Amino acid sequence: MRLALVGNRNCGKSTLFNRLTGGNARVGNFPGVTVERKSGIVLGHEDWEIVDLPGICSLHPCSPDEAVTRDFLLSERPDVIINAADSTALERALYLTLQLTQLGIPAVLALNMSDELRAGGGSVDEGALSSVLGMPVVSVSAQLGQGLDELLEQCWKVQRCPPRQSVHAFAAVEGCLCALENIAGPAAERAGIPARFAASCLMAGDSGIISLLKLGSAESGAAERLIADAERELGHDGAEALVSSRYAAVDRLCRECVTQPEQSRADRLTHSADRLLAGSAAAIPLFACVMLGIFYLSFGLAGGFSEHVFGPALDALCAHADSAMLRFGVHPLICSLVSDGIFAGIGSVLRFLPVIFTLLFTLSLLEQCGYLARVAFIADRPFARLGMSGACIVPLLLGFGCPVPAVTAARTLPDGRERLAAAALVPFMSCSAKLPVYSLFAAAFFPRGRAFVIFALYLLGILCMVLFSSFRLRTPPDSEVPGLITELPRYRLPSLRDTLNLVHEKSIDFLRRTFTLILLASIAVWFMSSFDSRLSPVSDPAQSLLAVLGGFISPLFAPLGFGDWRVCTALIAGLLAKEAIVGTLGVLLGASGLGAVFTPCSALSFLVFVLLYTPCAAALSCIHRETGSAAKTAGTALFHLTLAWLCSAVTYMLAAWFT
Amino acid sequence: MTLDKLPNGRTGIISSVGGRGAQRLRLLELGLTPGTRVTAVRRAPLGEPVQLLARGCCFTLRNTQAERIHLEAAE
Repeated sequence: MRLALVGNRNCGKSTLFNRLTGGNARVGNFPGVTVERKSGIVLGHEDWEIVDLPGICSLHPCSPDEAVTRDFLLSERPDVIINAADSTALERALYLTLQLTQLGIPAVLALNMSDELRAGGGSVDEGALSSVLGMPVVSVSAQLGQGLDELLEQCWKVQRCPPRQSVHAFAAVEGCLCALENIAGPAAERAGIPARFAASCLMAGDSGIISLLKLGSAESGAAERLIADAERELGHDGAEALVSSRYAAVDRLCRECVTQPEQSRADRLTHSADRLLAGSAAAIPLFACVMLGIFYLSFGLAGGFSEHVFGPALDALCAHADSAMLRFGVHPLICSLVSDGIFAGIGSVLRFLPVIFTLLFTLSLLEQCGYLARVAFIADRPFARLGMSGACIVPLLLGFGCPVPAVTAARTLPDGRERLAAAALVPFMSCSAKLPVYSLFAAAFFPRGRAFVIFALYLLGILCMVLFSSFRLRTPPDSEVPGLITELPRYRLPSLRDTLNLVHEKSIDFLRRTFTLILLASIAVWFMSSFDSRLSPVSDPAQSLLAVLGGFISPLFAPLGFGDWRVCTALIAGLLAKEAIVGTLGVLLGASGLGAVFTPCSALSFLVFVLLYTPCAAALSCIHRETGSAAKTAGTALFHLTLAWLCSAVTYMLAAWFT
Repeated sequence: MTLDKLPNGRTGIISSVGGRGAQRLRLLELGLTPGTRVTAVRRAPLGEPVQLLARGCCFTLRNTQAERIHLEAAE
């Protein structure tokens, strides 16, 4: 049996899903879109699959995520819908419930957070609600694990009983819908859409479904006349009449079956906290403090752990493996492959694991307790102008540390478009691995203006990001496409179980990417630096394939001022990890130092190039995970390379002109 | 008067919802139908978005969205 979990955002759906599946989810992508598909097996029922669908407000989608939910319900037609609802926000939830009855799929209404409702003195007459809606109603509390067995029992019972069609509150609307059902019935059946839902979409003007229906001109004409008649009678237009009618039914339901709670303690606390955290002038500096705290915990503490404990442990492991291999008489080339290729390459990414783990952990806690919604609220205004929402600020700020957790954080954004935008913009944030390059060059060539040069580089990165996102804004802001509408959910204590679940899931994903793509890239780089063009091993790096490649592309960099094979080789090494640039330059330049190859002008253009060029393999791998398209990832890589080249060339010309 | 001008803490009754297509439908479906009471709870420190309370639910709207909603009277 296949169950679909449908409900508003912030109604505790994820918690419910985790409880029902015991936290074992299979995460994939919905076909054709970059929206995560979370499915799992219900505990105790091996042949029951449950799919967690993105939260929706109604069956008329406003974002790619919401479209996924609707398309799933229409095309894959699950056996039973579990409609999760926030008991303390029933009006909005029941609106969706009434819409869901139009799909003709058996459904069970799960009133989640019923413990909070009861704590506030509210109650729901489940029997009355159930008889009006024509579907079973179960009070549950996912947080406390209550009511879940009864929920599953009702799912089993309701399998073969589609819900009763709810009758609209306004007679004119009901009449119009019945007539539209008759007109659009055949077309709806051909398109595989429930007739009642099709009628509703016609009246509401949902262009997506209307185009799927492919009505003939006679049918469309008749439909338009019917809707015009109803509009005349009601004095409202079709969409308004339909929605008002549905809400009138919801109001009646709530009056008859629900006792509203007093403002709960959680609501009062939320309101008071928001006066400071969301509405006051202090909200912004407080956010800065929270971000600094996150940075300190992850890049500072966990980073320190990584550098002083985890990293050396990995190195020691590598050294042991090395000596063990030598003792067993393994060929020195294989030893080199394992130590310098595999261990070094993977090690450079693996040592990030404590940082990534800490970051994801703290971010997940903040998201669950509701603070990240406030961040999106505070930061929205500047981002709205760039076609994004305030929620993007967190991944972008994280990008200053490392793009890997930043792109991973971008995946928690609620809207598919936003996630792509944030993932595309993260590489513009100058990551911490580039800082050693900046420091080295600034100290060598701009000793008195060191801090200024580095600061200017960061600013240039941000400026490029702003320009790029303005360029990306292809639709004018005042179009029919709905802007993102967000909510400020109640503050709640985060669940440790859910957080650890999430971090575990994302860490496994990171490890999987590391051991596939990064492994291949490390071996490739090792191969190119250990062998020469005749495929015989070399000890002098100057004769390796890598150096040959560096020499081959060096003329391309002559206009930038650094057309030297050693610099180009370092840049190629930087494709695997930006930390490698300084090391490679050191090895290849040896005693002669930077001055042999750079002048202050070319140093500046080199810094601009390093700032903007293709992000490291680990970051590209994350972007690939997010976009789901190798073409888009390659495009990103190429784009940054070209942008870096152009900006660097301009920098070199301007610098040379001014001096 | 439009919703983006409703002062913090005040409540208004919606008279009509402007705009077109999917944007307008979504505003209606959030519960912002004619005759509904809506309260402007607070605004972000930078001036927008505005946090609104309608039908027992809180959500936020940008000014470009809020200005489409016309109110009868403010209390």
